[in-house]
Amino acid sequence: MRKWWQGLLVILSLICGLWGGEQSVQAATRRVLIVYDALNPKQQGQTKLVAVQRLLASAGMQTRTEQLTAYRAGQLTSRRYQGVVTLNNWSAGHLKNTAFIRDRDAFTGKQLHIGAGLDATEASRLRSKRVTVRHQQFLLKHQHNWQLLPFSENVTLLKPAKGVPNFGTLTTQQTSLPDHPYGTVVGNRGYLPYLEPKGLSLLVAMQMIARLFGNQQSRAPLLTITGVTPYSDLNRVRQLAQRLSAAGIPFALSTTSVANNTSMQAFTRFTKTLRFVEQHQGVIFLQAPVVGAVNAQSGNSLEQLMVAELNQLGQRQVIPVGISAPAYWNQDQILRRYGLQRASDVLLLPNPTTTTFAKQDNLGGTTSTTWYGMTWRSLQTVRNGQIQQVRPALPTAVTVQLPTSTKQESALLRQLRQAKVTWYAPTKQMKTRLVSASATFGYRKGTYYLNGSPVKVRNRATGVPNYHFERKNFVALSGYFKVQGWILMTFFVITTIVLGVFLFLGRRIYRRMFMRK
Amino acid sequence: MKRLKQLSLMTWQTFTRHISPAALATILAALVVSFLLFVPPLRGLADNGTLPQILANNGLYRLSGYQTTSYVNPQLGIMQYFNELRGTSFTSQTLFVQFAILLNKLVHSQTVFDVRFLGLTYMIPYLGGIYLLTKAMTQPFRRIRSYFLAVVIVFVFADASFILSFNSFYATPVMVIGMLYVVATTLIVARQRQINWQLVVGFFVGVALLVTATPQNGPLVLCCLIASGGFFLVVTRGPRWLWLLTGILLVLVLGGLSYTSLSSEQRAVNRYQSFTHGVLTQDTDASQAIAHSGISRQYGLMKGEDYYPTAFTAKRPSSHSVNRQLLQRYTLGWVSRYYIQHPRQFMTLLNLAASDMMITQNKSVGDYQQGAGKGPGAQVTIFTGFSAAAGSFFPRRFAFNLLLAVALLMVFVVGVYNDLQAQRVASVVRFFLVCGLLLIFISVPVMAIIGGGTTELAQRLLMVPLSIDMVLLIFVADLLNHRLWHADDAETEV
Repeated sequence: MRKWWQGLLVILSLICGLWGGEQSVQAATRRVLIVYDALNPKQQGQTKLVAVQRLLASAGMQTRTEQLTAYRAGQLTSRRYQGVVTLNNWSAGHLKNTAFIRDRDAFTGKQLHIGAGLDATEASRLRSKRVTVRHQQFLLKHQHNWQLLPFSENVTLLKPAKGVPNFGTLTTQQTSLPDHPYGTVVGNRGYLPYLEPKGLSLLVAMQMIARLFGNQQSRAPLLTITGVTPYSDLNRVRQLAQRLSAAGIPFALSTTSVANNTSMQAFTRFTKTLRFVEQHQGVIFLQAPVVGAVNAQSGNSLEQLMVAELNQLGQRQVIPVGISAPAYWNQDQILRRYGLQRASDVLLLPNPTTTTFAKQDNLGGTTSTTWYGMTWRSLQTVRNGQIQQVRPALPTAVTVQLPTSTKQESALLRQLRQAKVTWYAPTKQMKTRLVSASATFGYRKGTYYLNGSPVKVRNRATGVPNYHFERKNFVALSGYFKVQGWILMTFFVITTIVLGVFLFLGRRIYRRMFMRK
Repeated sequence: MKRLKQLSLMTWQTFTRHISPAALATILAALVVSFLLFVPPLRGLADNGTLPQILANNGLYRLSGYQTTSYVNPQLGIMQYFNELRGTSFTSQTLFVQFAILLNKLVHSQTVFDVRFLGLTYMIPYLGGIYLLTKAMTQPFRRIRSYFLAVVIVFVFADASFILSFNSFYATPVMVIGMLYVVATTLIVARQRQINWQLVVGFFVGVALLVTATPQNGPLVLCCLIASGGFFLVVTRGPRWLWLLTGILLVLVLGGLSYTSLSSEQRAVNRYQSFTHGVLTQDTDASQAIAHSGISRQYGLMKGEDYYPTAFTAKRPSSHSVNRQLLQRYTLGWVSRYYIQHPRQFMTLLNLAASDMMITQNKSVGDYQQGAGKGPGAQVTIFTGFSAAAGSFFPRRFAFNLLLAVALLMVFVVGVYNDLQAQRVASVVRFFLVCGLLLIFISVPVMAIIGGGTTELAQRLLMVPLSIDMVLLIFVADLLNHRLWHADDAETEV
């Protein structure tokens, strides 16, 4: 009888333990729910959604993205989610999900509304009054910078209230219309009338999201050169690194690599160039490969490829500080797990035109530093040239394509010098860790580590066994077969000649038999 | 005993009187083909991934449950509405498929296409070709050896490796049928006193089918023109030459159109594959081999990559920079110069082609439909005697092919000499035909290696086994009929 009680006790305690454990795990990994109404490709809705996903990832938030129509009642609870973002891309659609609105009204976590469709409840909780403005072109001002925004048909703005911190100001040329705040944060609620994922607008939105989600990591932007592959013009890479270094601009280089054919001289040249970059204040991000035909079973091959690429580079003292990938990699279970989550620093780049998923799950992950990659060109929309005063509130990488001509290269350098931006200097601030299957790469303020011990980057790679293409394996009897072939050949040639001679002679004899003498 | 002998002789005589060797071959071939194509379970060749485009061009679509590589799809949907892809490809295969669809609509269904109608559409001209070929090789004799020859022809050309493709959308059947007509008509024309214009038209139709079967076949029009050279000896009167010249001009245009009908994407694929699976395949450092050649040596790292990457790759081959820095510079001149500078590598690749060329059975895809009790990718084993034997016993050296071609030419040139002395043309016409076929035999592997490397080599070399089979058959037939060294006097009329 006692044993029976003991058994029950053990089982009960186990269940309790599991329950408790689960609870604590849930608390630690509570996500932010992103609910969007439609992709609305005509207005770059996809880009906006991706921007929100990336911003939250950079803010250190794990996310789950759900379309409004797919939202199920009871999904959004404070126990499961620490925040919710409502993204309204298609104001004309008037898409509604009453279950979602009910759950959101009851939700006590952080709330952010982006775009049209701000309802009365949300406005009242923001302690502001709604103002609907039609057919206006706004100017976004922030400190001394400004950016002209595209013409907007229908925008809901908030009347500024006292004591409410705002981010950026929207003004029009019409004097009758007073200025309105762009981003508003009241307590744990925030509102952005729209999101234009580039330039100043994005920088201000970034600041606001960082404030709302309480994760401000204000730091200088990291200049990143993208579009580098093993097939790129390596002389140009080398020259650019040299000139950037001479101009005192620290930078990162995002490059893909190969796992096969690494014994070729071309790969030696490639890694030599990358070591040259490392020696000139540059750090390397290993860019994720282009995705071809993949499915949910491709995890293993991706793991093997990434490990092989990392090890081949590491052997040659090219130590990547992180992984860079298109943003959609973070929304895919396979690509995220086997590609991104091995690194402490991940650089998320804008999506390419076609995105190939292996197993899309819309669960955005996060790493200790997730860099938001925005193009240098998009920052050019910031007028007044005072960009150095806008310090991104989240880790931001400003990307430039590898120039393809000397002219482009000079133009780029001129722009960079004139911009007078204080760039993030990896040699002073960066600390990263990257795990390959058998090796751990590290970088700490200018020193590279391989499996915990510091690595000296030299001009020549050390510790790589030289592969000799020319050395042939010894094959028994190969000489014999060669000789045999020659003998046969000679035999056939001689036989043919003899036969030919006989044919000629025989014919002459045959003809003579009938010829009159 | 004597009566028994007499009886058997009488039976034989009755047999030969009623059934010619050509009829025997046709009957046998019909039996084999009908068994393979129409007796359940359905046999054919499964889709290797290239068929959907052909289907779309012909107004067909894949029904749900469509199988790739492992099983044959017995039925397809017929598009009911506007099809923007219709007629965008320039291939003679379309004619057959459209006829089959028409037949299907008349007899079977307006919405669902049964592939056996395509099999039937191919079978009828195929049997005609077999009949003509046997006739050309055995006439005017009805000896035992003639019947033996008929059986050999069936053994070679009714092999399952050719026949199975009738129930699919590959270009193989068109090439087989074209080849049968080209050779048969030429051989018959060679032995006639008066030229039969129907046969000449048949010849040109055969050539047209051959060169427009796939875009890769376009350049073969030149080989076919050499094969037709003998016609100018048969046609003696000047004005009729004009007709011949018109025919030649027509097939030349068709060949050119066929060759240029490749889409730019397909062209890029071919160039890329030719580079990564041809130029870069060597034991030594590929990147050093292409250094200082106009293409950056870094592209050596692409060795073994595919244009459509199977999983992951460092750079998308369809990207702008690859196109500009690699594919635009990778011209025919560049490849030719490279292979001239690297003859050993070229020879290795040609030997690879030589070892693949007699393997006509496409073993990478399944032959049965799903639910036929066969596993995925199961192969037909019946009636594959010839392809199996040729695949395993034919020497796998390109040098051997060269020697064989030279030897065969030497044999046939004797007949030309003798016939010219005797003022007859049969052997001369035959010699031109053999020349054309041997040129196909030698040039197709070279073109295949230059044009696409080792990608899908066996399938792109189909014209090689077809032409060498034909030449060897002509050789055997002439040997048996005692007209290898000179034309016989028993000239024939069709």
